[in-house]
Order: sequence, then C-alpha cells, then structure tokens
Amino acid sequence: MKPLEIAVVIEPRDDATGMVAAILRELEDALQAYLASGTTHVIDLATLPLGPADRAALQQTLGAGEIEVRINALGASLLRETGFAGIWWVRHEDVEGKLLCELLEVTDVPEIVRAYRADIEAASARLCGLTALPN
Amino acid sequence: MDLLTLARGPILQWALVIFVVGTVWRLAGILLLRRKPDYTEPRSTHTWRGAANLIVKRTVPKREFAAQTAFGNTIGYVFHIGLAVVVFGFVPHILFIKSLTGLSWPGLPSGIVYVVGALTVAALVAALVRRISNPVMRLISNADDYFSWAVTIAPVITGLMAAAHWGGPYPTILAIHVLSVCLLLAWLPFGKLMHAFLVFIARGTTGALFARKGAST
Amino acid sequence: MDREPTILESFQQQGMSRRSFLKFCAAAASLLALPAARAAELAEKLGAMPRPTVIYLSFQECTGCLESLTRSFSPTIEHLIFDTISLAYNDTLQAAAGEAAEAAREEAMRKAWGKYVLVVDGSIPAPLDGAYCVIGGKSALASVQEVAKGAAAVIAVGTCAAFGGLPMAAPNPTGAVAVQDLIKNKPLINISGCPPIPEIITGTIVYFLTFGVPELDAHRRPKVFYGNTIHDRCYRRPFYDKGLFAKTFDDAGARNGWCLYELGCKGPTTYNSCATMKWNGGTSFPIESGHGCLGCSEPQFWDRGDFYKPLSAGLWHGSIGEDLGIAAVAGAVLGGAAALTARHRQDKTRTETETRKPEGK
Repeated sequence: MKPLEIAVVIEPRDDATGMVAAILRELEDALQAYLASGTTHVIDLATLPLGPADRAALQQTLGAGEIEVRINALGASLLRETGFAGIWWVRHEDVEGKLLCELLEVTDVPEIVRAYRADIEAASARLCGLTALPN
Repeated sequence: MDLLTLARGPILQWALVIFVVGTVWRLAGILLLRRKPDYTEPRSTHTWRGAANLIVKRTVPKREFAAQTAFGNTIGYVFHIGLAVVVFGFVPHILFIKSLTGLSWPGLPSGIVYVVGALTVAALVAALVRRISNPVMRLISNADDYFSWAVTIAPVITGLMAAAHWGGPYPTILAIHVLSVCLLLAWLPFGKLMHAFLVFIARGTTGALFARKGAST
Repeated sequence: MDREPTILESFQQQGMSRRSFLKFCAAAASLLALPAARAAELAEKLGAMPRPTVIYLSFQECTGCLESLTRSFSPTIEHLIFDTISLAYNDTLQAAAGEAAEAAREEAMRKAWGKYVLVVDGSIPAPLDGAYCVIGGKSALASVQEVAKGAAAVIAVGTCAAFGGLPMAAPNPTGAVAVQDLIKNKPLINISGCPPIPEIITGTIVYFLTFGVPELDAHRRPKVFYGNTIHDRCYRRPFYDKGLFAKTFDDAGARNGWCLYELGCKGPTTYNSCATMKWNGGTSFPIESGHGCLGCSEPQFWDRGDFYKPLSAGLWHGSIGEDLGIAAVAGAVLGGAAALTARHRQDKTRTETETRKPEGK
C-alpha cells in the first residue's frame, strides 16, 4: 500500500485562558461563606473550559494537603485535600476507570466520606447478630 | 415540511423562476424595441468600444464633481462592493451557487465576510438617511426606492443575525434569511433594482451613441 | 414494611452502598450542569423519594433507543434505572411475556394510578384505529392513550416517539404520528436523537424524578441538553470560521480535521449534546469520526434533503436547469410580445400623424 502523502497536522491548544483566576476567586468566596454560615460549595471542573496549561496552573496553586481518601464504590474515587484546608479535589471514576466527574468541594469533610447513622445502625445490628452466634 | 426545508426548496425554486422570467422579459422588452433611425454620417464606427469605454468610465466619479458627490459615492461603493464580497465570498453562498450552476471558487474566511457584512449594513443605513434627509433626494424618491432598499438590506441583516445566532433559533433565522433572498430575487426584475442589469445597457447605449457622434466622454 | 421503599433503600437492596449512590448523584449533577446548591439537593431528594413506577412502551421503533439506554453510564448505573425505579413493564427487558406481562402492567398501573411515569419509545400509527401496529390484540394507539391516562408525566424517548422519526418519513405509509400529537393533557418531555445520547435519557429521568419537568425548548426537549447546536460546540468550528473545508471524505482537508460543512454536515441546524458529551463513554461523536452530522435529533430529519448536500444548497425539485430554461423562454416570449406591442403602437401613431398631416396644411 502506498503511504499517505499528507501529514496530519494537529495544533495543540495550550494557552492559559485566565480561568484559574476566576476559580480562585470563587473558592475564596466559598471559603468565607463556609466560615460564616457553614454553607458548602462545589465547583464542577467539567463545566469550565480548562486547557492543560490552566489545569497545571490550578493544581500548582492549590497544592497538596495531608489527606488522600480512596473510595471504592461503583469504581474508584480519589479525594485529595489541597494545600488549603477545606478545599478538596475530588475525582470520581466508573468501574472501567472512565472519569465520571471532577469537582472542587469546599467543606470540612466531603459528604461521601462520612458513615451515615442508618448505615451504622445496620452495621451494629449485623455485628450483634455475629456476637450472638453460639460458639 | 419545516420552514427551512420549504424555504430552501419550493419557495427558492419559484423565486428563481420569477427572477428569470422577469429579468428576461424586461431585457427582451427593451432590446427588441425599435430604434430611432440615425441618418447622420457616423464619425466613428467603433461603437462597441465606445460602449465598453463608457461603462468603465462612468464607474469613476468625474473629478469636477468629486468633492460634492464624495459622500454618496463612498457609501454607494462600500455597499455595492460589500454586497459582492458577501454574496460571492462567503463559502455557504458559493456552495449555493454551485448547487445552482455547478460553478465554484475559493471562499474568504468567515470573519472577514462578517465584518464586510456589518460595513454593508452601515453603508445602506447611511444611504437611507441621506435619501430622507436630502430634500432633493427625498423629492425624487418613491415607494419603489424604499421597498428596494428594504429588500436589499433584509438578507444582509438576517444573514448576520444567523451568523451571530441572534434573534431566535438558528434554523428559523436561516429560513428567514433564505426567504428574504427569495423576496429580493422575485422583486429584482420589477423595480429599480433592475439597474443591476440595465446600468450596463443604459451606459452602453449612451457610450455607443457618443462614439458614433465622436463626442468626448 | 407498609410503605414503598425509597430510591436509596432499593439501591441498597441491590447490594450497592450509599456512597455508590452519592457518587451516581455527583455524576448526574455534573451531567445536568446543576449549580452547587441543587447538586446537594439532588442526592437528598432522590434518596428519600419513594421508588417510582415506570412503564416503558415500545411501538414503531428499532430498539436502538433501548440499546442506547442500557449502555448508559457504566454497566452498574443502569441498575438505578431498571432495578431501582421499579420498571413495571418493558416487553424487551422483562422476564414475563404474553398475558402475564400485560397483567403485570395492569397491576402496576392500578397501584400507582396517577403517579407512574410513562416512557414511550417509537411512533404510533394513527389511521384505521391504529391497525398498523397491534401488540397482544391491542393497538399501539389504544395502549398509549390508556396508559397515558393514569400517568403523572410522559417521556418520549428517541426521534420516533418525539417527532415521528423514520416511520413518519415520506410517504409515511402507516400514518405514524409522534406521542405529543396524541397526548395533549399531560406533562411531556421529548428526548430526541436516533438514538438519544444514553446519558441524556438517564439524566432527564433523574432530573424529572427529583425536580419535575426541566426547562424545555420549543420542541419540548430539555434545554440543558438541547440548548446548543452541534456546530456551536464542535471542535472543528475554528476551521469553519477560517473558511477551511474538507471537499471529499478523503482529501487533505478531511485528514487534517477541517470543517465538514461542504460534505453536508447538519451541525448548524441540529440541537443536541453530541459535541460535548460524545458517545460510547465519551470516546467520540460522528464528526470526530470524520462524518458530518445527520441532524437525527431534529423533526423530519429524514426528509430534509440530501444528507451529503451542503446546508446552503438549494433543495431543487426536478431539474432546476430545465425550470429556469423554461422561465427564460417564457420571459423572452413576454418581452418579445411587449416589444411588438410597442412597435405596433409606434406604427399606429406614425400612420395617424401621417394621415393627419395633409389635413392640417
């Protein structure tokens, strides 16, 4: 077969859009709102036109905190505390490893990490059942 | 059938038929008229060259009147050239002409066409303002002038609206754009817009006459 | 337990955790582009809601929509739709068949009268009392009208159900109509596409269960998914603006990913989310695979002229050249007649003046 004579040109678009400054401003407001009234906030990164340069800049600015939470439910989820306490970088993937959504959550602990009372009640009942078993 | 399919299909086809019937009718009607016999001896027999000569020459304003007619001439030039650029330079328009005639040529970047389109609208608006504000122009204008102006500017405005996605869903605006072109095509042969063809016949006739008489142009 | 289990409870009964549910809600909120406050509300409201009953009726269709839906999100998320939300009737997916299936549907309708959601897939032939499509001795026309009576809302899935689709294409041999032509007195959402993007089906159902009917466009499609044209969100749009177009499917332009407008792409007149949400788990969408958009989420897309003709080309009926040739001849005849009349008038005036002259002298 004759090789193609036409070279495919793909121009990478990698210029910063100024989106990072807008996100930081929103996070600043969200942190103040959380401190004032306990209101949590979520920024959905999928809805923002972030180029690779923006993403790198955002990651660098927010930095890494002390906590990383890995959740295994319907696929993997990774929740990382950023260098700013109260701001979490959250990635949800499905069972095939495809990204479902990527969020910046402003809260003390993301909701999904907590164990719920109803679940603890069920666990307690289950444990009672175990200990009640005759040896 | 939805509005766009209707506009691009039967309505456009009928508009083109009316356009061709009307244009050929008027051209044939004028060209087949009996000419007055001229019994004088011709000074020159190069009447065709004289005709072509005047067609070109009259597109350039006379130097003596240049200052007085500058405003009208400028806006006239801007919207005539603008219309030509928009009609023959925008790729979707070229594709339309290709679907009609099979002819095509390279188009211009859309951005340039949008800017030219906006300039055309501005020049057409200026032309209308001049027509209304100048007492002589106002006196010699009739309904045909205003209607012809409206059907000329309508496709440009609706085209820009479609490009900017302004004023409603794109398919609806596009359909209105096509319909406005249909109106322009159907009206063109019957009003003053017929000058698009007649300007060459009128100037050519005068030019040929001048050549025969040996008059300076 | 007397009461119906909530969505969260039945989710957990399927062996999935609360965290899985929260994650699904986060994904759905992202998909629906919900603002932060509403995203939190989604998980709360949806979790606490009693399990809704859904009746899924299929008529003149190819099952492509259901194929699309059962592949929505990841394989486990479909459980939310089909297991968690009590799918009372779907003749393709349910185990029961024949009279048992019909009985199950009637029972579900009776129990949830006025509250269940009716999903319709496929168009409905209207003439002759619906005789062209009969299932279990009952016409599609009678079925949809009967089931719609007790429905809280109707969701028309796919272009056939939403706008008539392929069965309605000219000459529409069965007299097929869309669901919205038959059901006028219920909240109705159209999810068009051939098939619709699976995430849009799931997302719309989730939104409807939580917040009610979403904001709809003129064709009753959720604006969040059908608010922009393919062209507006197309990654090839810069080439359109620059005037760079592929002329064939295999030229340098096509290989360099230039705009497909000249090859008949219907992106500019098609409202859908393919360019942003993409297909097959975000792999690509038709334009990315090198083929123009067919406009499958728009009414009568099958009858809007050639798929491979540019959008700005005329849709000529018969031969436009012939028509214009006849027009030119007709114009010439009219012009000739006008000129002849003028000459005749000139002749008459001349003879009149010539005959009058001697009298005047």
